[in-house]
Amino acid sequence: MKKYLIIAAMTLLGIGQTNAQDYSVQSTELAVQKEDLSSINKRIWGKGRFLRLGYSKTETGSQFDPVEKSKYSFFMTKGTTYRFPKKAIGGLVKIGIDAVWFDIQFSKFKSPYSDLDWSSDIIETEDPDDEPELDINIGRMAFSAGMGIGPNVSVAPFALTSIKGLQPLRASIYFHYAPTMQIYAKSQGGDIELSTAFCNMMNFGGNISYRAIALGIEGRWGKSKFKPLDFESILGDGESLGSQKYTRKFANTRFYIQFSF
Amino acid sequence: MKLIKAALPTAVMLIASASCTLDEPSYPDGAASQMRLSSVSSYGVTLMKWEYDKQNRVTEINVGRDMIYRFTYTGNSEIPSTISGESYDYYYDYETDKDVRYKNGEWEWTEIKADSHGHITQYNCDETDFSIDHEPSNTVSVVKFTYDSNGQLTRMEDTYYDYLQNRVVTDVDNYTWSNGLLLQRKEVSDDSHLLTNLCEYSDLDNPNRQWDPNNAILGPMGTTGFFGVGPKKFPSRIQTDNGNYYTETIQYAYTLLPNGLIRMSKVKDGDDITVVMTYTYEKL
Repeated sequence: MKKYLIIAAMTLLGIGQTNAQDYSVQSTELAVQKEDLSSINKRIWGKGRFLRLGYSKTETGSQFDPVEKSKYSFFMTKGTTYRFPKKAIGGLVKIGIDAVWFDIQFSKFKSPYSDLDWSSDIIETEDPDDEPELDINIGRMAFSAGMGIGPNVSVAPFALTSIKGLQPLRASIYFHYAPTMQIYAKSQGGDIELSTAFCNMMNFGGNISYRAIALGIEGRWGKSKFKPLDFESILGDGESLGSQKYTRKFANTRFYIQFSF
Repeated sequence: MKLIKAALPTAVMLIASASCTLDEPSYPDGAASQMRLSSVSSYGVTLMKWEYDKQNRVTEINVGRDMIYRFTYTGNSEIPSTISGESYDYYYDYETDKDVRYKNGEWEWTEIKADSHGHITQYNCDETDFSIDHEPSNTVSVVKFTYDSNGQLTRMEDTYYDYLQNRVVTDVDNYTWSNGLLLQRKEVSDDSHLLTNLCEYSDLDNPNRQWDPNNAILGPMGTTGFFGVGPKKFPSRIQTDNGNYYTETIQYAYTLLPNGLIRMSKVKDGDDITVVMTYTYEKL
């Protein structure tokens, strides 16, 4: 009896040892899997942080004046994409939320009037007796600073293939709502304007990334009511009936390079 | 391969949808006769403003904050019974270190008569000058206008009593037209030459015979239609000569709406300042 009891105890102990061994193997496998998932996530889906530097084809216009097209326009965007679920849907797709911490842009515009069909040429004359006047001719420009938030969908079409080099290739599309402060300034040929407005901008775009670098394109548009600073009244010339609020629209086609370090 | 085939159109669609441009502003369409001038502004700042009553009769013209014309009508008449106005100027107050706005003139036109085309032919003018260096002085005059058969203003005659000269004086403006173009305005006072305006024109037709409110000859009052039709083409230069070694040349350039009304103008004055102005119209 004692013998059977010892055998039974030994057996139970043995079984217990086996279970402990199994559990240890399983948790090791899980840890390895976790590590794999983490490294796969890192390799394919990146860290989520991004910095975009780009060039924009920008247009702006009011309800009356002809559209002003940019001579040049540059922007910088910094943000983070929070992706979920941890394991990609079907191993290929992740959805996420983009949080854009800041988006700044500077644009310089061409005069829209030079292209209009004017009835006659205004002849510029210079009187040698005239004393040089302080004429600040800065042209036309806009500066914007804002934030943004919106959904992001990313696809890594080669994530499941065995070709490791192709796995990190990923395409993303996104849409952002971007509350932005816009400043529009102009001083050209003696005409000056300085106006600011809060704009509800929208961004829609996408990029193709490989590891930490991506190339992308996005459209950005929005409008707001601008109220020019009334220089005439401020300077006391009394020429003005007050500045009028007017709607100014902005449209950008942005090309960028993205870094995700 | 399948993936690439799917990705290419997706990329093209993305680029197409991300490409953002603006349409040129849509200007009010329709016949010029169905539109009325509402304001002239420069970069969002209103420089001139017109107001109308329910019968589409002009009731007020504001020229900056410096001048205002008011029109009152009797009954359904298209011709105003009274046109009054005020002008303002500024002086510098050294005590407060500020420019102070003051009224430097006011006028009232009454007994207004018009011809069958609705062009004003005569009114009595009661004008008071409040210029700061002078005592307020009042002048009462009778002003007469003559038009040719095309409705073009040819003569203005202003007769008043000059207290300095102690006699009745008549100032006359003669307007010389040729082929629908106003070439010259010559102002004389009892045969003594006061002022001459010489006009040069662009090739741009003015199909509505619209008077530009910035035209140096008639100013904003030309837009009312009470003083005849505008020239057949848009001016490029108007030179003013006061016969006393003073000349000023104002240059003009225009771009039009499809219906021929002025869309924008560029005006360069004698001080070499160029202002681009946008004209806003309301649909009737």
